[in-house]
Amino acid sequence: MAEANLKRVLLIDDEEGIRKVMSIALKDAGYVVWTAESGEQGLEIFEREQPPLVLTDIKMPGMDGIGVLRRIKEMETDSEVIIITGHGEMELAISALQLEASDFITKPIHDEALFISLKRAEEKISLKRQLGDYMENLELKVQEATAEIQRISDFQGNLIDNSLDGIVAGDEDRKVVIFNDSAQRLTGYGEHEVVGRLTLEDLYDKELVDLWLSREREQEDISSDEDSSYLDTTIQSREGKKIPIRLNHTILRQKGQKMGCVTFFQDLREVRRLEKRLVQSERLAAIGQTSATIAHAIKNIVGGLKGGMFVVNKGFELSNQDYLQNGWDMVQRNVAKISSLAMDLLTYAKERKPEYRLAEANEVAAEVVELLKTRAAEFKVSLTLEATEGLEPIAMDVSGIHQCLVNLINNAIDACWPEICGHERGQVKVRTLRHPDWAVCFEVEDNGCGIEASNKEKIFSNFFSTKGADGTGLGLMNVQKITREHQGRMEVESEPGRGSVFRLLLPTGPSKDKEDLNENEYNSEENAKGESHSVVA
Amino acid sequence: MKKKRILVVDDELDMRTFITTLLETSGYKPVIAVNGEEGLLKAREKKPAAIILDVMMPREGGIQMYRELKTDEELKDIPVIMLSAIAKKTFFHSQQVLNTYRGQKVPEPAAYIEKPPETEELLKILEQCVGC
Repeated sequence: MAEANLKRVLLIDDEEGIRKVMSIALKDAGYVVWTAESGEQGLEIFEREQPPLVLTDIKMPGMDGIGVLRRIKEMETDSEVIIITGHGEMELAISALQLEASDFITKPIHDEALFISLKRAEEKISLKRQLGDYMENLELKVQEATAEIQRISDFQGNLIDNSLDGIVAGDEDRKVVIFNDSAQRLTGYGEHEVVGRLTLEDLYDKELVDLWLSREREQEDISSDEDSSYLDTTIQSREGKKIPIRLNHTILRQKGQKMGCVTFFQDLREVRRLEKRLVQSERLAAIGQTSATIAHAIKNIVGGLKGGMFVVNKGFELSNQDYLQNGWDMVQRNVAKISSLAMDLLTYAKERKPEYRLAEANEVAAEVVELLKTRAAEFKVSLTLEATEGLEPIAMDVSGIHQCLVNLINNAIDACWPEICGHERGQVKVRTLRHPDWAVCFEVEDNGCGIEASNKEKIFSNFFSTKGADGTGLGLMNVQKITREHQGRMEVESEPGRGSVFRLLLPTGPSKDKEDLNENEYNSEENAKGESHSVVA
Repeated sequence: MKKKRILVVDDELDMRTFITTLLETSGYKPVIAVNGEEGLLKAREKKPAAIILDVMMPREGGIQMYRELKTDEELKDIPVIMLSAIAKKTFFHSQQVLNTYRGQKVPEPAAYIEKPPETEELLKILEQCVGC
């Protein structure tokens, strides 16, 4: 089709003979030919027919060949103009070529030269047209590719923005280049406040960034994958708060060259809230499962109360002071028991927020010993405190430790009850001691009945009690719980018939994330109510 | 008429106070022991008309003391009222197991009362035991 289109020639010459001879030759060769006897006529036909090929004599009256050439080239067509020259018109021919004539042939015209020249012109046009197609195609392709890139980029942008994980990427200089929606929500920063303005050091712990840098240097020539483990740390919020996050850091490389790094993180507050809820529901479930045990404990206490009332009534009936006294003691003991059960249950069931502050171990121990002196005296047990002087104050939840000591000392007093341990010289010694691995050691030693080997493992489990109806089976479990919150340790040594030593070991202070937990006020209202001392009387 | 002696063996102060008051105000003379060991001693020494025995006690438990009472020629005829927080079924099952295991045939106690005891019930049962 393009070929057929190309085989159309406009021949312009003022000599009729030449027009005749040439058009015969051209027609024979399969060309469609228009002829014109002047430049003006030629242009007229050209404008009408738009032939791809034009043969024009250079010297003509009126508009000459150069004029025709000029006008055609001005028309911005892809038509090719071949100039026909006579002898001695070489200078004109050259200026024609300068005006982008495709070729020139000289008179007398040889068919061979004519067709070579035409063929060359046709090829030129065809190339030009192909090139045009290419160009057009190329532009289309570029448009398509751009659209695709845009689409992918939008898609990735969406992906990054809609990720539930916070995503923060930094360039080589650790300047933030990506700060997605989740990261914005979490930190309260707007994208424009961070991207291009802040560096990773502004957001993350300096030590952590230093660690990344050293890791980058180490891995400079290692092409292997990064360590993709998660790490619990914090991110700085707009208000300057440290928000706990679980973070993964990856160095981005292109062909081995470092381009920057990207960090992914999750908000740990939510995770921790869920974890907390889980722990709490497990705790409640444990209580649910053992509600029969609780009912039983209450039944026993009610039995004691009824018994006490019976004895008191007899005292009234018979005006017997001893009965009144004994019965009233019973009532009091059982009321104390039920309130201690309730307190223990509350402590165990409730989310209690430990409040850490620097405190003197000796002060806490002295306070508890003072508090329990009366009870010890009632049981004819001597209770003494041997405090080690000069202990460093440590961070602890004072009311929690207070409660632990109350429980431990009360247990020790119970163990020394003459009717159980078989001797009358009950002694409970409370000590505060230095320890090579711990900040402080609270020691409660008794010379009471001791713990049977078979019971030793059970004493910290819920509702296990060796005190029969006197124990709730929750005391030591609460001690254990509070000790764990302090990341401390409980140690027990005991020999049946000789006594027991309980040691409560506390570290220098609660760990860092515990402080973080404290800083972030979760369920603060609930916790405010959760404070309770359990005083077993 | 001489008051009948009743041995009360229980490790719990409340229970002892309650039962001794009940016994004293109902015309009995209570004798107290806080564990099985002391219980056996007092049983031999005081020759009580009946024994009210707690099952769950530290050291010499009530179950052991009961078997020793029942295999002692001198003491085996004293009626024993078991008093315990353990369900009756559980106690009798444990007795069967012990009988089979030790090849002994220990008779069942005169009565078994689950804690906490009702005043009327305890007195009625006690009367029946001491009366016969």
